[in-house]
Amino acid sequence: MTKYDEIMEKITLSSEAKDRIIENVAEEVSKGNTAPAHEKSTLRSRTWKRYIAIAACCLLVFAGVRTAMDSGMFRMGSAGSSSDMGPEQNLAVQPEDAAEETEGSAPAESDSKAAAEDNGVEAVLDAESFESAEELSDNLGFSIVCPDLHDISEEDGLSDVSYIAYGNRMGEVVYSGEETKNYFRKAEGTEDISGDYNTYEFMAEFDGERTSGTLKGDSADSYELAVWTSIDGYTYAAYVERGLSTEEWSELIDSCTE
Amino acid sequence: MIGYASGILRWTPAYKGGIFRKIKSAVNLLADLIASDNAEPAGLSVTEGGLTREKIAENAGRMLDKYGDSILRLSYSYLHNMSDAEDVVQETLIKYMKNAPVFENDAHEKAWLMRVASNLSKNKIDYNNVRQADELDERLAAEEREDLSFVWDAVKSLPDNYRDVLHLFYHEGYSTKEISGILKRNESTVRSDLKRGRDRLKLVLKEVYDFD
Repeated sequence: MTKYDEIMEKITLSSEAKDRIIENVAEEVSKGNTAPAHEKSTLRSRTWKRYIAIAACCLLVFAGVRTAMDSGMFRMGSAGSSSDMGPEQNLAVQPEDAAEETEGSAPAESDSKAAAEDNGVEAVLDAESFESAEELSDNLGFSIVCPDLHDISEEDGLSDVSYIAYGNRMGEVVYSGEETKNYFRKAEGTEDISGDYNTYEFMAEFDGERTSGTLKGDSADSYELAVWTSIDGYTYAAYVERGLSTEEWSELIDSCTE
Repeated sequence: MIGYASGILRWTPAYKGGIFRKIKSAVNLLADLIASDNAEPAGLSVTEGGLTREKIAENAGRMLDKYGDSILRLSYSYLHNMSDAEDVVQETLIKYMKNAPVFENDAHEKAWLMRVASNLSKNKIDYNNVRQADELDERLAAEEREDLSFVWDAVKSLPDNYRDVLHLFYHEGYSTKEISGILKRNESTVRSDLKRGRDRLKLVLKEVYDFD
């Protein structure tokens, strides 16, 4: 037990304080509970009216959205559809033909502006490719290396490596194979830059001397995604498709965080 | 394991998220909204003509046994005065009884109570009131626990937004995500406040610092 816990243990409700509080609470609450029975039934019917009103509103909203969808209002690819989206959301926009594979799969293709335009989505940030991590780092003005992810990806046979800058705000290193992809992202700030809006079944938080963040995965023993921030003002995201344990993530985060 | 993340001091165990939990939370939120005007407190039987005073007292007693000390300690961490902290316990309980919110489980119920107590405590803080006795100070002095007095003085000297986060994290065992829900602050803000609070305490307490 810490000293603070020891201090707090000394703060307890005395029996006199308990009795006094109970007395005062009973007095105060019973004032509002003396309504005659017919008023009680009025309250109950009022509650049922609220239920009905809420159900009616939900039905209207559903009908409205359905009508809008049928009329094509939310068709992908319109010039204005992505103009209000932040860079993170744009990078995560799924190609239409991959929409059904969203659950548990890697985030959407985010390699280049050309790829985004081919999918009918207008990219907000200019994406620029570089030949190496060093070139990418020079362009961004901060280092973007993740040695452990590099080693893991090599072991997994992900031989195709891309180094991409999004404006001068975020850098990404993508390790691709035939069907698998890992990635590492880094930017200034504290936002979640993973661009991953998949629903994961399990999450674990960590909080250390210099880093804090969250792991997400589809099992309690293996996490695919990590998002974290460091005290020197950077935000990170890393994705390993085969999943890593908390110990493996701990080492990877060590290696990738300045 | 060496490096920065080897300082990972606290893992919150994996918890199940997923779409069904989100739907369940949304349903509970809706139920909270609906039940807020409902004069039938959750879990209490309604008798003809209203709740009996004895029944109210019985339930108030049960709540105090379960959560009284936690609410008191959180309030005390803000107010440093037993009388004001006890008032907050009383007002929190009255709000609970009158609003009758619906909870998924005990953890949800406790988080609600902590949130209400935190808000009530902040409303009660009177920065100009220097007369109020800090009974804890007096007790620690009387017990000649200089080590604890030292720690308590250091904690008291922290800004409110560091102190409540530290209390909820270290004494109540909440994660930063849960604290952000209780205090209605951004999670990254909670993490910064926690870190800054710890750094300040380390500076003051030096060898005595044991919050890790």
